[in-house]
Parts: sequence; structure tokens; C-alpha cells
Amino acid sequence: MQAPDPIEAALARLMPTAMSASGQRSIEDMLDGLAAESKVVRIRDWKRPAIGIGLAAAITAMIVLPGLLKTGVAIVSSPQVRSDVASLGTFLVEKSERVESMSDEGWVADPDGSAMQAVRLRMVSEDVVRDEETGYTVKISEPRDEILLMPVSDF
Amino acid sequence: MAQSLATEWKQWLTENGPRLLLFARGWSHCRQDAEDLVQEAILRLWHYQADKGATPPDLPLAFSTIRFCGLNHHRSETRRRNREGSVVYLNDFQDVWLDPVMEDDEEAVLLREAVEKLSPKLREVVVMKTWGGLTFAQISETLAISPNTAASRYRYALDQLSHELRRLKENRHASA
Repeated sequence: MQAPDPIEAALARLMPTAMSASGQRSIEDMLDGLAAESKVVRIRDWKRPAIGIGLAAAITAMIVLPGLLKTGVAIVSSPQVRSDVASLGTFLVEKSERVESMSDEGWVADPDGSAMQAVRLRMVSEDVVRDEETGYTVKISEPRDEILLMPVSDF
Repeated sequence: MAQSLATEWKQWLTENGPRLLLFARGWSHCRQDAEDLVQEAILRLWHYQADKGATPPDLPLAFSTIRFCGLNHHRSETRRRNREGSVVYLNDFQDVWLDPVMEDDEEAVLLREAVEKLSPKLREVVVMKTWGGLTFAQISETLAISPNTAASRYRYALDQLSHELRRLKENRHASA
């Protein structure tokens, strides 16, 4: 086994300073407030695969059922109905977009040669659609990567 | 339910607060700013984790979020003001980043000064590796660099610290 670098051993003797009492209290108060407002429903680990399987089955059903059943359901005209999903006899119930993760990509130069700070965003668009015939509600997630460039000339 | 959730996050904060604060110091001019940065990051992490069972995040994600918040704060400042602020800050020896286990240990005090003088790129790797306990793979994900680059920066930082420590010791002994 490789012996630790003496400088590493010396570093290990230094300890990060603790947060101030007021700083700690401020964050704890914030956590109490957030927890009080929270309506999060926790999902136990063993249930997660079941949810995934259920979602996959629902998506498969949404793709397969319109072709098999040939329901011929009339499409209700509504401004919320997107033409692509409406053509399948499904209705858009909810539409959302969120940032799943972000990472710093460092500095890059734009075509003009100006320095830009690049941040990679993992965006997820989610549509919740309901099939009128079967009553199934399906959530469709569309992840995509985006690069956000911010000027750093005044950094 | 809400109470247990808050308790879980508070325990996580108690365990990791000092190392998060140390990392945030690299993006702040003073301790209070660093604490504000940690608080802002925790707020973002809370909302981010809501979709993931609301459990406290792992450390690499927390470091990454602090870095992102710090980056946002610093974007509006000029490099010059940043450098001047650092000089003023580093001369403020009452406001230390790290507590030597033994205050009368000369080497520990000198090493603390040397860590504060490292360049931000090197310092953040040392902080995440030494006090965050992260692997080079985790550091590379947090900083969006390759694991080899993370390891190189770490080795380079250790070399600089050794050199700086030697220099400071010689200076002190020469002036004694």
C-alpha cells in the first residue's frame, strides 16, 4: 500500500470551520418552513420499479390501443389539444418543462471571439395525456440537452 | 412527515455543513457570504430533490450546486474587484477557512495560509478530495472535467503546498 503524502497527512490535521450559530439557525429555520409547505409523497424504493413498469405499460398501451381498437372517437376541438396527440384520440391534460440537472462546461468562445460561460442543462419536457376511449392517463417525458451561453465580458 | 423530513435534512446539514461552507468560501469574500451561498444552494437542492423522494442530496451534487450559485454571483463582478477582494480577505487572519487541530502547531498554521492562497481551480479540487472525501471520478463530474485533469490538479496543488510550506518556514526562521 502506498504511504500517504506527508502534505496529505498535514492537510488531514486541518478541519473545516463550523458554520456560525446564526447561519446554522437560519438554514434550519428555512428547512422547517420548506418541510411545512412540502406536499411530497415519498415513494419507497421497492415501489419504484413497479411505477416504471406501469408507466412503460401505459405508454405501450397508448401506442398500441388506438390501432387495435379503431375506436373512431371524434376529436373534441379545444385550444389545449395538440394536433399530434389529438389525432390519436388523446387529450393533453398537463404540460410542463423542468431543468433536470446542470453542469458547468467552462468558458468557450462564440463566433465573434467573445468569452462565454457555457452551462449544460438537461431539460425534460413532460406531457400528461389522457386517452378518451380507455381512460388511461400517460405521462410522456422528452429529455434533451441544451447549452446555455452567458457572456462573461464583465466577469 | 414534514417534521421528520426537516430533521433528516438538519442532520445532513450538521454532518456536511462545515465542508460545504469550506467549499463555498472559495466563491465568497467573507464567511457570511459563504453561509448565504450554502443556504441558497440548499434551497435549490430542496426543490431539486422533491422529485426524488425529498431525501438530502449526495455530496457531489451539493458541491456542484454551490459552485453553480457561486458562478452566478460572480458573473456580475469584474476580475479586478474580485482579485482586490481576495487580497483584502486573505490578509484578514482572524477569519480563517480551516481550524488547525493544534493552534500552536506552526506547520498547521502555515499550511492553512498556503491552502487559502491556492488558485481557485486547485483549491476546489483539494477541498473536495481532502475534506469532502470525493473520488476523482466524482470531482470530475462536479467540475465537468476529466478524472485525469482532476487528479493532475490535485497532485499539482500538493506540490505547490509543499513548496509554499517550505518557503514560509524558511522565511519565518530567517526573520526569527
